[in-house]
Amino acid sequence: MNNSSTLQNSLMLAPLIGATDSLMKALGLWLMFIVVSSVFGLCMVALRARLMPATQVVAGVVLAATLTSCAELGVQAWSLQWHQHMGIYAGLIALQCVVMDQTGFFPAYRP
Amino acid sequence: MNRAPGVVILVLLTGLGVGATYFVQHISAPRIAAEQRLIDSRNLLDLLPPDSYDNQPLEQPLGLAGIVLPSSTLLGGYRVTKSGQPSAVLLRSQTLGYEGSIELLIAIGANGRLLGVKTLRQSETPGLGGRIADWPNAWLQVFAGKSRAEPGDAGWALKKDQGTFDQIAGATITSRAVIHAIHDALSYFDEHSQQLIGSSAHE
Repeated sequence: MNNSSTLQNSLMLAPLIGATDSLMKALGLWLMFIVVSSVFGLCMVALRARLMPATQVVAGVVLAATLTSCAELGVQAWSLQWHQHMGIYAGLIALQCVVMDQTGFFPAYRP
Repeated sequence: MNRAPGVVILVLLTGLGVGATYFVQHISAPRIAAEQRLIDSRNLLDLLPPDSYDNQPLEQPLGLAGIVLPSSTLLGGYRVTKSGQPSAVLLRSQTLGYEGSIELLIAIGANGRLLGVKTLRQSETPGLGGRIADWPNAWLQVFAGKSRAEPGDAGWALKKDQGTFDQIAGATITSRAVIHAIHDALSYFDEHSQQLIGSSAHE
């Protein structure tokens, strides 16, 4: 394993620290992760065809930030206590989406 | 030019992202604020007996701020009513403990008797003075039912200061600070009971 993939793997695992206290937190984080990363993957598949690689990173960051913010606000409106338990780890889902995108997790669109 | 459409898409995406986030925040803000108020009241109001009030005390501040008392400062107060009649007053008091400032929520009934005391914020030694933050709290429960007259002004001190209360083991300074803050709050309530609950304190 070279250095950069070790870094990417550890960035992916950071929210695990937040999730491993209680089942409720784990379920909450997992749910948010599934929703946000699915929507992110679909949007990136559409965008990747039209963007150069350099712009793809920035676009990925913007998209991940938007989706994670909206998801966090949604969870806050649904159950504020649940969100307060998850604390800062919900925001790290944006980082996970960007890392997954950069390592080629989301398939390219093949018409 | 090859890069132009990419940049345009990026700018559009950013604009859309900011707009969507703002929109979602705008819609969900009242709901989140209401939920936060509910959580706050549940946390703070459990020092009142549940059937002794039917209003939202935290939304009825008394407009006290920065009132300096002999060993503490009053940061604010809330009126608790039942069926329109004031039944208690909640006073937020700040005093200096051993390691830092302690913030207490002191509930005083309409008859001048203490209903309960809760610690809102403290940074005392964990395990010693920090035990004032436990809830429910056996040491703070000792003060429930006491008033300014019982014990008298001289009785509101630690036993080692010729008063009537035991300190928390190993936390003399913290205990002393809390006792004086409670005494200050009770004295303030007695002197201003007209303006706080609109009637005389002693039945």
